[in-house]
Amino acid sequence: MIRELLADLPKARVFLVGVGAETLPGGVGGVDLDRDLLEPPPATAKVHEVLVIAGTPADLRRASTLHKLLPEARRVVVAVLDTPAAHPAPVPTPTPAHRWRSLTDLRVHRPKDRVWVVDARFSASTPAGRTVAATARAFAGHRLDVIAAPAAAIAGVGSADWRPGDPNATPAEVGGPVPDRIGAPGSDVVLRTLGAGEPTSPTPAPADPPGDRKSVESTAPRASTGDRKPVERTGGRTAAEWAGEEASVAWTGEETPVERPTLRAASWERLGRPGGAGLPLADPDVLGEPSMVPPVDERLVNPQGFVTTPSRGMASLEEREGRWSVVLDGRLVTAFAESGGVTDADVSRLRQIRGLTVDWRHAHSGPLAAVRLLAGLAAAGIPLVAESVPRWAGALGAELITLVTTDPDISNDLRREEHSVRLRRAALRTHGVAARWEQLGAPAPAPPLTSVLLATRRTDMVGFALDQIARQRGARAEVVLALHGVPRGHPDVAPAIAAFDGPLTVYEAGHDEIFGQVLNNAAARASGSFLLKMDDDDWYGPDFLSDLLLAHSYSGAQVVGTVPEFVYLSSIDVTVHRSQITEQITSFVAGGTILVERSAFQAVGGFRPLRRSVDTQFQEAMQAAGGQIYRTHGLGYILRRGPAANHTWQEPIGTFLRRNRDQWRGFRPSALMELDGSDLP
Amino acid sequence: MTLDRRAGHTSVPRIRRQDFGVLTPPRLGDGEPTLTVTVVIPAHDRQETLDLTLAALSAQSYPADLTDIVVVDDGSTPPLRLPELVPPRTRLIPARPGGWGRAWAVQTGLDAATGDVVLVLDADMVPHREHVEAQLRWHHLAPYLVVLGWIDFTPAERLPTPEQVRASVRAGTEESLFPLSPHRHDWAEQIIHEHDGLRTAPSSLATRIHVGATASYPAALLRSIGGLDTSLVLAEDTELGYRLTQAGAVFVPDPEARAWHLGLPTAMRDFATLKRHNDPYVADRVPYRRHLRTDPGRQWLVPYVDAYVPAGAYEDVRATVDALLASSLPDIRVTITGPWASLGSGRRSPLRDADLDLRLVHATFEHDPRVRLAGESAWPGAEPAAGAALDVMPPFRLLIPPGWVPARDSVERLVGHLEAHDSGAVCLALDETGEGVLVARLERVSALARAALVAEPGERLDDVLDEVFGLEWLDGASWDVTRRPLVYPPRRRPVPEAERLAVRREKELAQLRDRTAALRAELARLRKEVGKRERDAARWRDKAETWRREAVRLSRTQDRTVLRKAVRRIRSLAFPDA
Repeated sequence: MIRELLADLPKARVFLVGVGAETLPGGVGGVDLDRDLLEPPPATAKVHEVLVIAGTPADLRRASTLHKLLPEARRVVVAVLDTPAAHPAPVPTPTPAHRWRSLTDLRVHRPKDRVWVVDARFSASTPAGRTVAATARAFAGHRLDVIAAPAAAIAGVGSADWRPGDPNATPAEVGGPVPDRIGAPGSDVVLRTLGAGEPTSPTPAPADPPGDRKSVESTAPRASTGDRKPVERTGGRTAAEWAGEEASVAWTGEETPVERPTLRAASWERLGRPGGAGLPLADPDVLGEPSMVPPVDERLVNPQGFVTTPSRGMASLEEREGRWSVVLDGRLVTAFAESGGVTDADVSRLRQIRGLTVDWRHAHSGPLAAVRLLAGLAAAGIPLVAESVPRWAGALGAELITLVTTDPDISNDLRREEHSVRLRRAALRTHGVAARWEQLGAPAPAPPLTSVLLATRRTDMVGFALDQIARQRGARAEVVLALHGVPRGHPDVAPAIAAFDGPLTVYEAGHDEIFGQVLNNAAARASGSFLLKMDDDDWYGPDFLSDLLLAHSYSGAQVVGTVPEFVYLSSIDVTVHRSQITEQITSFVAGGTILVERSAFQAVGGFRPLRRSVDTQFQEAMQAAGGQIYRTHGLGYILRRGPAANHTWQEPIGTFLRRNRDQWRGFRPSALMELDGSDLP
Repeated sequence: MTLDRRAGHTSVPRIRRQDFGVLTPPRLGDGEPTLTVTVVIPAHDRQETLDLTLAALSAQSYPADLTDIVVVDDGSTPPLRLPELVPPRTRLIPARPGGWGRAWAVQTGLDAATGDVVLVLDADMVPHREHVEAQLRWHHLAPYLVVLGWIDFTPAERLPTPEQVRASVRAGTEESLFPLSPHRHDWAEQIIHEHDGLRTAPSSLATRIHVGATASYPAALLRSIGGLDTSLVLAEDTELGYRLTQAGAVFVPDPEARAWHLGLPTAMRDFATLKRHNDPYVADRVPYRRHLRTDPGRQWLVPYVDAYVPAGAYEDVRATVDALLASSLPDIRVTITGPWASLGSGRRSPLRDADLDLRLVHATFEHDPRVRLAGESAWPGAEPAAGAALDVMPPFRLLIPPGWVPARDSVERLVGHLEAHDSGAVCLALDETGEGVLVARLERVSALARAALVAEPGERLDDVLDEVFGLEWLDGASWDVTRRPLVYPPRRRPVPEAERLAVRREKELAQLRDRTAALRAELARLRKEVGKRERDAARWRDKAETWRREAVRLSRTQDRTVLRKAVRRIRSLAFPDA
């Protein structure tokens, strides 16, 4: 494919990302954005054609981060060689429009399976990076490409790994300074990567003196968000110190950059050299910080596409010819990048595999690449197991290490999925991009408030329903309780309200009011940025809301929910586990699980004023308006299907007995519901 | 289906299906046995080998004070005698008068047995030293196991003396007593091998493994099912295996319970003849052997499915029973339970009778041999009928409310589903009313029996059933069990499936014929058109050729004219005076 592209564009300036320069035919020079240091182009740098070749969509996002370094050109061709089949065509949207006025021709085509090419021509020289960023954005579903504050400057080889898909990042030279932006400093935080063996020059004074860990902890306290553990700030150390050498390049800017070793600086080869054992990097405590490792690009490497009933067996994660690889029955399934960065294409190849057993024996990659790889796989929900985790892999974080070494019965589909959910939660919260920058010292944004809309006509369920909300953790929530024809002073209701510990608004709706309208009125009383519609008789796991918010952050859909995968049929006292496809963009989620961005809710005008089917109508309206609905895993929710006498309108019981994956007598919540030992209310 | 056992402690170990892996027998020599065992040896004219059998039994590792032997003489001439070398507490009794054959003799021995366990050993067997111990260790673990010995065959003609046998057994050198035959019990060993020692074998297969020669049973279990079927002279072990399965037994073949079989058995010497003899008997009694029941329209002693319908409205009962009798499974028996005895014959108003519907149901099915009208107490309760000696039950039982109609193949598909998963029961949710869910149930009788064997007092039998075999809820509509049509019986004879299909195919055929004809016509038209075009083309080609020639001719003429002019001009220049 590369040959064909080069034949079409013989004079183009070639940039590579996620593709080794050795794959180019002899005599063709290309810039490897992952390995070569790039200087910002002079303002006048103009070429006729630019060809950007990316391995996968995830790789392209690094190029998008560095887009300011690309020259201006009249023709830009962006080729992605290995695109998972699930991606739709990456059609760039030319926004903002005025910068795209010179566009004369745009072609998006798939010359081969898995290969996508975007070919743009301009009437005048235009920054080539603009096409790259727009293509990367198209692969991520046209969401705003924002990593919450700060504005970051990045410098050094491989530094784009730290801000994947952030066109707002400012690339700077290794020695600084950060170029100014119009009327403002170029960045709020600077991160630079330093290798070893570069020319030495005086070391800038570190902000925190390297030394006793306790003193670091005590001198660098910082606000923690939610239930996340406070993370030690290690920004002050220089990479040169990590590598045990004098700082290579002095920083000339005014800022104090956060410095991180390049992959090579922390290789076993370097750590194993004479004297290597004395280096700070050889200290497992130093390496044991998640913030030493570039984050996981959760927008493309995430649980989306998880397969609940895989068709293939356990595979082994081991090193082969210097790269971490997945080997199934002696055959190679995928080989990861040397950097340990996991791509969406890798993940898509692993979906049918039951799980990976980590083989540490030939782990020559160096600790950082190994940790980065495992974090990426965990974030994608790939079930990982290992007998033990070596101390040098401590940067995975305590939670992930515990999870990987617990020995769940992965041969059981349900146990496997529970394991996967726990892994992705831990990995996304510890190794996600926003989380990583908070660990590096970026101010944490206030966590969003979710308003739970709870409408009920049944006085006896109010207490139960409020309990389901009270047990939510890891997310901020308020309740808007719509009492539909029920007085708040009712002897069942009043104590339940009084017992609820948290913000709660009571709204008494008249008996005759229409259900859809009641919900809209409740929404009008909500103050959160998200609305969550919950039902009064279903069970919700304690991480239900935080899982929905997590799914919202990686899916980008306006509506997130799940399906009734587990249903308790109370008339026959049986719990069924139904076959459902989850972790995907879909057209339907259960009415009791609809989490919607408030702005999107308002855009479609809320619920229709109907007595029933308000949920399906709402979801249809959302899709008609161009919104997306994402369905996350179903292990945190159990639908209660009561006896026929209570609901004359509900679906026949037989519906729930079709396509059962499993069923149990009695009430059998999954482990993630954390309802063990509790009986039916 | 079960995540884990809900109740912590259970006194009777619960074996799921055939998986006796939950039991851990002590290693040979380690156990502390307490159960008494009666070894029953049926024998007919086998004095010489019987002497060796008894010699080997006299040197067993199982405690002699827990063992007694009953040799049953099945009409030998001359009558059998006990040799000198016998274990203590050995009795020789003649088979009870009135019958003959192995089943008869074993039954005589069973009636005389006093042990907790009965081990039946043929008179041509020489057990190894730990043969009895290996079998008995299992019986100490659960009261519903049938343990099978492991047999080597020998073609030996010259037999050792009883003293030699005894010495060898005592010394543990039984291996070298006889030359080993290459023949083995191949098909049985293959089943065992392919199913993890029989642990993963489905019920309908595991039961086949029960072949006589050496097997032991809890005496109570064997008596509760009525012992052997003494009407059989061969295949009695196969039949007994089926009834043991029905009683909830688990079969455990123990490769350490070794024994020599002297000579090759009938099954190996002349398999085809034996099979030809046994098949009719087995086909009649063991419904699991589906391949023996392929002849359509037949009925057998033991049906495959026993269907129960409670009496109700006449049309409802009739629709349900009619559908069951028309099922694609021929060996289905229907029992309608109702208060038939209360139907008096006294004077009544025929059309305004309070029992009218009951009477009509009675009149409809009274003379159908596949339908039984039984009292309400015959409705299968939670407990299987006790003490029903030799009342052989079909392997499956279907309980279905009147007014619900299974499609022709519904019962067969459901049975297939149970067999595919070797599960205990399926409950079909048919409908739901204010009173609850209306259910049709198909149950595996052996699973019910197992559940009853292991259930604790106060436990719900369905919970236990789910634990030991699995109970699954399914949607009635997906299995084509539907409410009867509003008008029943239908006013016109329903068109059979085959005819309906035939009509549909006929229609399709006619359509296709029309289409073929139309296409042919189109083809002919096009051909004609092509012919015309071809002719046109030829004509135009000719015309073109003509014009071309004309053009060539004309251009030549012109050339000639030009040439002539030029010649003339040159000539006048060269020879102006000419």
